Amino acid sequence: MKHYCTLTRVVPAALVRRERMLPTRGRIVVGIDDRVDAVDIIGRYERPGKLVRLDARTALRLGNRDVSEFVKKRVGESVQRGEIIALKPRLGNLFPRALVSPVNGCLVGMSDSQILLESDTEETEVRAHISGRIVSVMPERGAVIETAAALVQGAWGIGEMSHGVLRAVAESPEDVLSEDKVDVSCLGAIVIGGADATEEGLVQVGKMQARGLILGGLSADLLDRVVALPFPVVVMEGFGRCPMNPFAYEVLKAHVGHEAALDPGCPDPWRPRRPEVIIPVPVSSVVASESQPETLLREGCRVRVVRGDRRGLAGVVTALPEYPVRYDVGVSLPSAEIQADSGDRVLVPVNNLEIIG
Amino acid sequence: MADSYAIESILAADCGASTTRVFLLDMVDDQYRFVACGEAPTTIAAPGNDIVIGVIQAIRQLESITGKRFLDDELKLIRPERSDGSGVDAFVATVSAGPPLRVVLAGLVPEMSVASARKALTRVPTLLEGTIALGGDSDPTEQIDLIRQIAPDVVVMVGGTEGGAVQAIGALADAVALAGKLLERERRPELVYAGNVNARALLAEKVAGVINFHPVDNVRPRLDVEQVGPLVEELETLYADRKMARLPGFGRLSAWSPVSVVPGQRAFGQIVQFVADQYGLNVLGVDVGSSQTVLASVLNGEFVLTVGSGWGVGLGAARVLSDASASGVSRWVIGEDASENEVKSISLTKAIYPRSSAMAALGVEVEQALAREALRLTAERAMPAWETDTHRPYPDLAPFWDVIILSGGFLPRQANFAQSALVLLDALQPIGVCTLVVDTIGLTKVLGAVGAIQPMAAAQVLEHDALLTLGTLICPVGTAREGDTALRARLTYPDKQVLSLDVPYGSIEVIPLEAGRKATLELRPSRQFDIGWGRKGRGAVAEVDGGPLGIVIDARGRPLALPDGQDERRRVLQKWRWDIGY
Repeated sequence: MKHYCTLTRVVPAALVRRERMLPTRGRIVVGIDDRVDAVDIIGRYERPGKLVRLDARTALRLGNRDVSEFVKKRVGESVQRGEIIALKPRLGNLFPRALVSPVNGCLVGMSDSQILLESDTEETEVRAHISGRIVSVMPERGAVIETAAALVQGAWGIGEMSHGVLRAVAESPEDVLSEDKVDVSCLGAIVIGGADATEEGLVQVGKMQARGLILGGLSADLLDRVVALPFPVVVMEGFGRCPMNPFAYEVLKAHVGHEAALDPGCPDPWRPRRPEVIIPVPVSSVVASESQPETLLREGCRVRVVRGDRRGLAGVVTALPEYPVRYDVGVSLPSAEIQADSGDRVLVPVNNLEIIG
Repeated sequence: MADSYAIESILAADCGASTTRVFLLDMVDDQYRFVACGEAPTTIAAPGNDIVIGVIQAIRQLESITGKRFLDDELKLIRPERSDGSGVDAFVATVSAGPPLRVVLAGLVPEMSVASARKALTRVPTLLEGTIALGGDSDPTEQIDLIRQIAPDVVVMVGGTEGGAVQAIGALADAVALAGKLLERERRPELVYAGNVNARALLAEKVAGVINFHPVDNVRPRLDVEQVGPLVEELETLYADRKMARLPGFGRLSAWSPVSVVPGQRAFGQIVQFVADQYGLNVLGVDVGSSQTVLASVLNGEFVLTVGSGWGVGLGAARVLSDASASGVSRWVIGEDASENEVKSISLTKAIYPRSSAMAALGVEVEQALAREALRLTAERAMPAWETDTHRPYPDLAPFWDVIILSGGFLPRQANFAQSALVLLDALQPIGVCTLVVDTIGLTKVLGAVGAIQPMAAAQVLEHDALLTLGTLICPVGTAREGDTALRARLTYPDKQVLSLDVPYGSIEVIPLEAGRKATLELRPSRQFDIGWGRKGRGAVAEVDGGPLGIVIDARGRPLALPDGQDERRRVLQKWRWDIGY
């Protein structure tokens, strides 16, 4: 019987294309064939300003009179702080009553006597974070960057995309990131931790102003702490203490000291986007474009185990039993036999496997 | 419209949030029967980004099971079925994948029109992201900011009885229009108005050119009249247009089917309605899936669909954890060493890998705890829609159902049916006497879609293959001291053998009765207990159905209470599991 699995990308070198999008319409400042470094800006957009409501009738003491004849600005016009928006002449214009703008911004709406201002929007830049070549531009929206890169996908991430130099503080995938393991070498780096972190370890990574953190697993009780960190955090396997799968660990370890982009993806339950680490490599090491690998489970497939006491284990499929296998919890499930690097062979339900490709 | 040739073989796809299943139905001995099923991961997210890929993979698995060929070399469906046996005559699909409609609700009186609108929202896959109440010290700037920040798919506006004042509604429309102007055109919400009809023209004028305006009948035309139907219909249309139809690959999937692709929850509801109509019963359908939980019910002929969007045992696990709280989920877990942290870790990992299976007892416990809470949260939403009458004499409890159908990707797939039944009993706390039925293969949803092209196929497969009677549930309402007799039962088997037992309060008793057999059950509840036969203490004799579960007497009382202390709670949970044969 054929079985299909989900896929985790762990690729030592491939030609990778990634979209970098602005959150709203804006201005794209790169063109096709431009070379960009991670720090380069690819576009700018306006972050919405604060809304301010003013009541002209009350401010000008107009009673039941029509407000519109006293308003000096129109919807869409810009206003400066202190500039008059509405004016009521009084005592032969000697002592007029005026409604002035409390902010620099724009008049965005008027209803009856209510005037709505939006304070100046804030121009915000979107950086490339990935070094490479622009191969496509979506006007006002974003650009596509192509680069030769090693690519490692994770399971869960949070924060904004970032880039930095990879630093490993874990000596093995089983290590737990603790305070004493984090030193000044982590300053401004993307830190590769181990199977979990201690709370103090997270605080210390924060103090080093790291650009990102990669862990194998993460205790759920640290979630609040992780959400508050000012850099992205990517978990490779899932929640709870778990060593990083050896395929991913080896690729990351091989690139310690290299610049990488850390994209935490999007954990939207309905259309999730996997987090990933993109590590630009010399073009000469690329063997092929990032293709769409098969998701059909076959003998010889490289897989990782995502659930159960073998979570984090990676290996090669050596057999696909014809009939479902019965497990201790009382369920019978279609399964695959996996051979790990250690030579151990284990049976794992197909649904607990992801193909590594 | 159906194809012109006779439809004998049918492929029916159910594209769930995590798993896509394709069922083959075909004629066997002049009857439509279920033949086989293939499944694969749903592929609406990267790297697939095309719902059809998952359908094709499920069909490939089906081909490997049946030895038949359904797809040609260009991956197109072979239709109609050829003389060599390849291909099928028809294809239909249901879709439960994809996000719900994100809604901001704006209204005047929280207890009246807003409450009615909330009721309408529970009947469609929606997430209520924010509420704007008019009047009082409500600040229009905050209203505009709320809509601008959320950028919902839909703003539902209600308020005012027919002929009432329109100024307040007009002011609210100003805020919605202004928020719309501040959003990019493609992120602007639709405005559905279900309030005072006199305000329609004013609202249409205020939002013209900015927001699409959808007026529907008032949800509260009079203070004593509620009509949510038109609002529900409009939201269903918007869900189909703005969410389901925009799933990647949906157009290609639709092109394969001669009839419209049906939302999964609606198709499930159609089957529950069919069963209720066919037998004249009060029926509850229960579907716990990966990202949503659905209760489809028919009570006194009135159909109610309740969708718990975002609550499920898979992609929806994180939302259950958040809305029910970690302690709410953990209270159902016995595991000696299970900390709340561990329960959270297991739940969140399940949300990342929704198709994964628990390999340890604790993992199974946590998943079942998530299902209990998803059901409880959804049932809370359904409660206001079930009228209080003779079939629902206790306002805080569920109605007396005649039949409960367990369906969806989770409940029918537990290690044994006792586990499925206990999740249901704990979460929904049914009362009275009812037959428990399970949709073992997960066919009910697709049969709702099959009915649109070949009603006979849906009816015959439903009768022969889809539903398995598990047994009879007997759940007396009342309380007593633990150990006091709640009811006396006397079961007379067809061979005249008799089994009598006293069922103590606080326990669950299981009386074996094989599948396909009926027996005569005499029940004598104590005077504090009601089993739905008129009043407390009234007993009666009934013919009951057997099944793999037999007869389950849940004498734990209603409402069900868990002890506060950790050790006592664990002891009681363990006892209940032993009682039911977990």
